Amino acid sequence: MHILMYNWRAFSNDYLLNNLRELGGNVDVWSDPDILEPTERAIEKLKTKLKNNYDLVVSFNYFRGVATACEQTNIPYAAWTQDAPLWSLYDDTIRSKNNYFFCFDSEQYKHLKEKNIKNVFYLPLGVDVERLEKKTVNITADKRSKYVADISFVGSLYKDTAMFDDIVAKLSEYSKGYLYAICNMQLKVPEIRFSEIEISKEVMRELQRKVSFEGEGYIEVKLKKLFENIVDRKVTAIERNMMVEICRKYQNFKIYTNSSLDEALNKYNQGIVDYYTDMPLVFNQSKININLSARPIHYGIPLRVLDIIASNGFVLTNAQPDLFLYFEEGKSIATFQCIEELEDKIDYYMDHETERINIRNEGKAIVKSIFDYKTQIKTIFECVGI
Amino acid sequence: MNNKKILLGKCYTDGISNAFKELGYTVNNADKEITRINDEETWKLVEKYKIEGVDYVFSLNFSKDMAKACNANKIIYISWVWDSPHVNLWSEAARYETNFIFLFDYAQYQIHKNRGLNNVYYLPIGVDCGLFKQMIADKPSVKRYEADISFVGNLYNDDEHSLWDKVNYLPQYLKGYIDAIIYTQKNVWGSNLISTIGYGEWQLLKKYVNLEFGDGYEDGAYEAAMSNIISQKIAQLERMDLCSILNNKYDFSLYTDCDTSFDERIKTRGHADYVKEMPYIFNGSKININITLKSILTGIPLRALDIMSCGGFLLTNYQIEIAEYFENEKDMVFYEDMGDMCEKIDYYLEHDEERKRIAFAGCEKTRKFFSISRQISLINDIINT
Repeated sequence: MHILMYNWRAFSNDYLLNNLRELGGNVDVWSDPDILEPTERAIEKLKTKLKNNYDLVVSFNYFRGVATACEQTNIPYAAWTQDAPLWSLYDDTIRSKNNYFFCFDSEQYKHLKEKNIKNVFYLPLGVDVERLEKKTVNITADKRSKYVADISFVGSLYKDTAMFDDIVAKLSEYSKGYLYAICNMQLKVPEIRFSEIEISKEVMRELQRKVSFEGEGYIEVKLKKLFENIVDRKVTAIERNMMVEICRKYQNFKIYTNSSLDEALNKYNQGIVDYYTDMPLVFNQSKININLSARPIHYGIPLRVLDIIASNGFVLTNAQPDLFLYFEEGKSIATFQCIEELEDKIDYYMDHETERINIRNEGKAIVKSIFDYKTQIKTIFECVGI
Repeated sequence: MNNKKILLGKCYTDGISNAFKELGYTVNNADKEITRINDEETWKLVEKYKIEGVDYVFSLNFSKDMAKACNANKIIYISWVWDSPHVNLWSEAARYETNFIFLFDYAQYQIHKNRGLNNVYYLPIGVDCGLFKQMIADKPSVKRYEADISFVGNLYNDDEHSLWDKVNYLPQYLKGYIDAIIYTQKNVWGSNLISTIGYGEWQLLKKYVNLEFGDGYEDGAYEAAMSNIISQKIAQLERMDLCSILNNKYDFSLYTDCDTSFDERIKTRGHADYVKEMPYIFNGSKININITLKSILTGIPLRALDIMSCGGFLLTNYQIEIAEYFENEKDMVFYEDMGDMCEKIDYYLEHDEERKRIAFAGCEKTRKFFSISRQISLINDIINT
């Protein structure tokens, strides 16, 4: 099987590549950044490349430049989403008959299906269990002491809420109150999907009048969706901040982030850690790894959760809906409903080591049998029909 | 005879009275609704019946005056609460050992248990199935009540129920804040968004919206009362929408004594008498709509049970407890939103046989599990443990 993989800044590209090859794929990598725009030239270059008998083009996420090239050369394009929302999915090129969408988020999957796109599938992300297992065996004493922790969190704190703050500053007191209530409801009742929150006509009109929204340039996205994303990111920032405040009370708390922290919190920050070499060790050496899914991802299982479990780490995560399609609360996954529950859950799992280990092991067995890269890739091949 | 004497406050029908009699109680019927009589009248009533040796007083909903009077006279006070939230439960008097309080909404039950009320129990509402069954058997159809779709209910735009509209000054920030909650809560059932209101905002509300409580109420009473007021505002918006949409599309019969001038196309048939008319309305309509107040978090509202026990086909919003006891599309049908409601109406107006089967099944189940006599015997079991 001759496969072209378009690589652009996704986590886990190397794992996907290795696994495609291990399944017998003859895989070439394409990384032309001009595909992003896309320039005419970039599309032509890719089309020329595709004249070399390719059976399939694969990428994480979706690139309309790739889709155009594939349509014009009649080669199937498997786009496996890793992000939500994915602004590129709001483009007309999604209707090309050569596209095969694999959505990691079940809401994203539903939205695409509602648009009557032909080949849309729900496919959670994959993880290279074997490789991660190898990395977490024989850890040096040095690395052990570097990464050992009671609680760890790896990720951004979404500190850049300038978009939200700037918008709010321009609005009337009524609209301010309205928006703060929305953020507050999102924080306290996370099972509300954003589409259930009403933005009154009055507030919408004021937003349209006073704020210029920058979408992704060429793509027309509904104002509400853009705004929804800004609020989601603000709520993520508030929530992750609250999480840091809760976790700092514990003895050995480590955070790995390139976000700026208040001076008092700096001592917990270990800086960023390499995704391939050291992140698995962080997960493996922590008693509890916290996952707070970024709010823009409404349903999907984030890659972070799978990486933690596959590294033989214990994850305590927000109750992301798609998790429950595969995992059972208290048996193979430990979750909390909202940030107010986090502290009690941490205390509980710190005190119940056996249970923690059991959940970790059960979760690992599930990840190994369902989320392994080879399983996911085979599903892609089956759906594309190659 | 079980040698027990009980004083009953006025209820919707004689069903509760009959049920106690069947269990061997000597029943005295006060002619008044116990929660509506004043303090003085309450004490007089209790003192009178104390002399006659009454062991229990029973009322629908909870009267703090009655609880005090019973407590002082060492009489057991049984209260079966059919409202949620019921603000009187935040009175100190709710804590008396002489109380037996039965709550129809499970979420509400948990809230009060968490407040340390040990004498609260969970018990869904019961309806006078025997009476309704008899009425329908005597008069299977009454022409003037026949309709494709009926809705019997309050539109919450009358004086007594539109308290939120009467709030004449709120700082704009707070108005926007509460409006966000009101408009969002319209789309969400099962979660109480009013409880997300932040501490600062509650203080502002308490400052600008004054609610009279009187003495002897604990923390939480204001929030419960405000929850009712805001839920009623939401119900007002929802029900006005519902009436307009249904009236525009279908042969729609509305029974309410509320003002319908918000949509001049709507004609109300006025108030429906609970006993004399309601059973024929539900039985005579192809589809009956129930839309539950948002403040009722999990419980099965009286209206839904009324409809089914009268052989009516029930089309209702989702309530967790309805889903626990009844099977969707077998005993009744859930709708998700107005669009879905209309789709289901279209479908079930076209499918007579299926619709009748569902109505029949719902009726059987309601008569079996939600009759007043069954629920009263459960109360009897508990108070005699």
